[in-house]
Amino acid sequence: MSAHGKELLLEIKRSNGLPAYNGDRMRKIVNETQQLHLCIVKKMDLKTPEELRDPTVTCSIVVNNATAKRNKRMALAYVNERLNRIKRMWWTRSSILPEDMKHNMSQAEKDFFEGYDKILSAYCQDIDVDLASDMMPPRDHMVQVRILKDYGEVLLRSGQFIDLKRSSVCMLRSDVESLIQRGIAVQLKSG
Amino acid sequence: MEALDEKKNKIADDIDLDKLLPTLSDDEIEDSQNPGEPSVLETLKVAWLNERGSPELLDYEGALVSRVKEELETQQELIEQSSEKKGTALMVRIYQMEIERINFILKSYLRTRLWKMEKHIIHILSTADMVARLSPQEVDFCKKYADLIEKNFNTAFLRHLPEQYSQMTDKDMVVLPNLDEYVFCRANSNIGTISFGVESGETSVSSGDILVASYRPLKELVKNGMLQLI
Repeated sequence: MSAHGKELLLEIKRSNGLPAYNGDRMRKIVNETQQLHLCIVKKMDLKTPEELRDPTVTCSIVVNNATAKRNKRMALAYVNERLNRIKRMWWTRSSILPEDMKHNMSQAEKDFFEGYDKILSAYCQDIDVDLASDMMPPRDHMVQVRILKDYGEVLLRSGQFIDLKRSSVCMLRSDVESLIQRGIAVQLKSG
Repeated sequence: MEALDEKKNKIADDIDLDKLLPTLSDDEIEDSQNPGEPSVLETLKVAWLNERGSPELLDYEGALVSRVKEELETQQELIEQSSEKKGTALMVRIYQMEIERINFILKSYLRTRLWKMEKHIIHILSTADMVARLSPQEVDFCKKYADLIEKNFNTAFLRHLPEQYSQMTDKDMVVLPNLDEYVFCRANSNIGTISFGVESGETSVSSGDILVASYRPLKELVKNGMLQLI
């Protein structure tokens, strides 16, 4: 009983990032819970009040109920932990999902990510503050970054255009933050 | 030699730093306020540290946030005007860094609140006292977020479960903030004795003392500013 739930939780605990959505096990948990529920209903219907007072009957009903609740709790924990990891991606990477992540997400999770992106963007617009930038305390006004791929022209905050090619460049921290988040540039350690 | 001295004097005349750029957190602001009243930056730092240190969501400092945004805008405009003048590059850079630091603190404050709201979403929306601590935009966000989460859980599996188990708001499933969590704090004034219950006894706290204790008995003191979380 509830072995599926335990397997799911172990799977998510042992992994970093986002493993493939285990729809199969989730369905098994749902089935098991439905079975447990049917057991309870059957017992309640068929037994007479005297029989229901028998401790073995009440005990088995209680255990079935507790297992069903435990199944629900484990499934919720699994789904919740995945959602937390998906949310973290929004904050660390930006609102574009990398392809390999998309592959591992269920349709409901993809919808969630889109919805989350929407409500956060609406909130940032409402309060007129861009919450996704300045995630780390600023140490320097300018940073040295290496551009990893030919990205083309980029508009800086000062209004100038700059052509990004594979090379090491010194840039304003605020311009470069979103580039680092999207993996286009990498910060060189200052020294 | 004389030419060099003349040149130095000329530069010194051009750059009258005190008159060039007003500062955000320095003497000018302190002069314009009542002496003893903390600057906008100080108040923001206090709010930020309290919010980060506390296990529960604190009251929204709406007036403070508006003031900070206004001052940041003013400072930014001044910088843009002054960066056209010669010889101000260093000062401009320093003020730019100050803006970035204040920006960071403001955003971190708002983000910390957002993450707490997400974590305790059901508890917050179902307690009137907690809803009162949110700004109108945050209330809007919370409602939309709750809907989003519910939709996701329902689609994933909840709606397939038998009715008794398909609700999201079971009492033992709601995440509550842990008010007994231990926090670090510093006393801003003489508080006297604080009682921590029968087992832990009492401690006497005077101004400047640093204390590690369970958050629950300190809640009210943090709220009225006598204790500062660090």
